[in-house]
Amino acid sequence: MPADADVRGPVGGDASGEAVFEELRDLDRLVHEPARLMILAYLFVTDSADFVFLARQTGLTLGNLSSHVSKLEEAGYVEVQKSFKGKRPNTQLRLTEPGRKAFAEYRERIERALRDLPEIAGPHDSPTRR
Amino acid sequence: MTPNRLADLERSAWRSNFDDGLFDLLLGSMLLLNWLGSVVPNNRLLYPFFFAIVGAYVVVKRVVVLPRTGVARFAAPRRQRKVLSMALLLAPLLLGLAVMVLTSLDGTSAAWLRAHPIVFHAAFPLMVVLVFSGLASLLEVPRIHAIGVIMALAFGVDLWRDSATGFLIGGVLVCIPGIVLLTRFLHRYPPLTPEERQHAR
Repeated sequence: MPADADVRGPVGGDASGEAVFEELRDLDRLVHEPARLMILAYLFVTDSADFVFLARQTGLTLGNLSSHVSKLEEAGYVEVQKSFKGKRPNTQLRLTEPGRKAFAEYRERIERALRDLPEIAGPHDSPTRR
Repeated sequence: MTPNRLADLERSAWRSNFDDGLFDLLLGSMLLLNWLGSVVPNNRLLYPFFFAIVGAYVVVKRVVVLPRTGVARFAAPRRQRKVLSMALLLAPLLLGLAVMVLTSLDGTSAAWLRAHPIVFHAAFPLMVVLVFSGLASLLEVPRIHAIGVIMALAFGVDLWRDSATGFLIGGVLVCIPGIVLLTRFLHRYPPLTPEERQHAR
């Protein structure tokens, strides 16, 4: 690939360039948000977790976490199970099958897109500096 | 986020269970209890302390630690490792019991063991190191290796030199990081405010 060809954007770019940006354009925006991505990642590696655990691990405030979880719940990515442990209410969060699939798909898509992105070489860089 | 990074994430979430230092304090207290056993005239007086320490561990974990850290249920491989580590802790007890029963049934092997104390004196600390090494690997908490070595040395000093000083020094050495970790934990994770509890649903 010529040096000037790998910095083209989606407009006027070649077919492979368009494919890269297509991957990025098609990213699931709900998963792409950093706080929600963290929540999904932690739920992906555990069977289930409660609000406090997720807040401690992600560093989000409980209020912030609650609002992101609501969005994920609405999308059907996260299941919220409420129960009682003795007299204490206990809320467990679990990734649903669509949520698991969405996270896995997001990972694949972003990995592919990042792998195919042009090297960090702008139009001002000479080939010898790369 | 590659599979390796996800595995790291899972491991760090799991290891956070041991950030409270309670496990260190539990083991360190057991060593100190052994030392106390050599100081007080009647060992039986210490039995209630043993149960008090185990009880305190359970209560503090449930009442102080878990409400601050929250709870997660980990995937099956992690749960299997936890069960295996419990079995590993129980194995030496069962082995010891089996040896006691067998030697009491067979007088010659009991006499042989008494005549060759070096076998027991070498085997016991070695077993402690192996058990804690296995525990550290299964639980993926590296500092348990060090705790195992300290415990083995304490038992070794007791068996070889007939001195309980090893228990005192070992107990203090294990308890100090436990106290530091617990203090840091309590500072880092204050109890939830009523408002936060509301959000936690």
